[in-house]
Amino acid sequence: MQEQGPRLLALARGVVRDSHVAEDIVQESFVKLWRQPPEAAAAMPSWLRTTVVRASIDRLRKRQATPSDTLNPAAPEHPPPADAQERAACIEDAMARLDPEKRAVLLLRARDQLPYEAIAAALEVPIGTVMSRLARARKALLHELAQSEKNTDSDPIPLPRRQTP
Amino acid sequence: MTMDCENFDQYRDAFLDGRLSSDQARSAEQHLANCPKCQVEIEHLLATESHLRDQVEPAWTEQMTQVVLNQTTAPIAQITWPWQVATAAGWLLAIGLGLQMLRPSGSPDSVAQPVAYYQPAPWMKSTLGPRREVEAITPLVQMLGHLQTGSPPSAVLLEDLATMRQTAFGENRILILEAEAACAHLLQPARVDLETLFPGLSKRLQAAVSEHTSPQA
Repeated sequence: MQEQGPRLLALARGVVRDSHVAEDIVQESFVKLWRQPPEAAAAMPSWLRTTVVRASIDRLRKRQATPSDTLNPAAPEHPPPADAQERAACIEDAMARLDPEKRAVLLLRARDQLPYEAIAAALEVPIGTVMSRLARARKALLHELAQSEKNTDSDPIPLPRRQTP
Repeated sequence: MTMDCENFDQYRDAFLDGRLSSDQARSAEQHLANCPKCQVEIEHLLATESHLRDQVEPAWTEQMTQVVLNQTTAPIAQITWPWQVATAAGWLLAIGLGLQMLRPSGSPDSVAQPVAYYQPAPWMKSTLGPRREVEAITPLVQMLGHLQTGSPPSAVLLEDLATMRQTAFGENRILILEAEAACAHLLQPARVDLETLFPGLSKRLQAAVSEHTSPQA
């Protein structure tokens, strides 16, 4: 639990946007694992990942909740500079406005850096569906960031690395 | 191959995920170098991926582990074991076994099979947290004595075992859980075969006692 817990908590929190609900989901997943036949243990990390993602999406569907503001990311040891904080806030806002399936696929790809095959296993969909879902998620994210740009009348993500051609 | 914004839109995911051929990647990079709009989109996506990747993972606390353990070791783990509850639990188990023994023999499905009361698979034990040496040895020694002699344990011993279980991890938690259930059986007038219900419990208790008292432990 100590080994898998933090990673699963981060995944659940990323999808449900609520620290307490994420804790419940991960704890319930460990309890479910306990009741699984030994075959499930052989693939324990991927089984847990699948269970956590599915439970996170299901929880939001059941609640029909709008994204919550209760997510409190763990405070980094060294706080980022103000523009980085602004960038992080913009990204978090945009992520919060995506639907949970899109958040899940983005988190599995970007945060956990999983290959398509592993994402397909986690979401229990074919690889082609992963690719199309990832494309839609990225497009939706860009749309949300563009909306932020319209609202603030400035670049939503000030990027120090940007080079003007 | 020359790429415009429409082409690049189709190749954007493959570009980000490194699925383009070298020719396609070169064309994409050329387009990016000359198209501020697509460049901004790619940079926003890269910034998002970097942000998600660099987020600090939340801590997994001992309290969270405890919540899981309390649920995975139910039903006995959630009982606080006053004397009457322990007795009632034992009676229920004995009645269940008695009913099973009263079933008529002869048909294949009526043959009473010896079934262990609580035997988790080895992989389950690894999910219970790190294995630790038991903290107190006296209740285990006493329980071992009761198992060997068949004498009924005291309510105090049941409570001591329940207290030990609250802080035990891994195989030790299962061991103490079984010892508690075995206590309940020893309290019954009609005894059952504890070795069938709790295979190897005496040996495992002895091993835990030996580990605790061994100078190498």
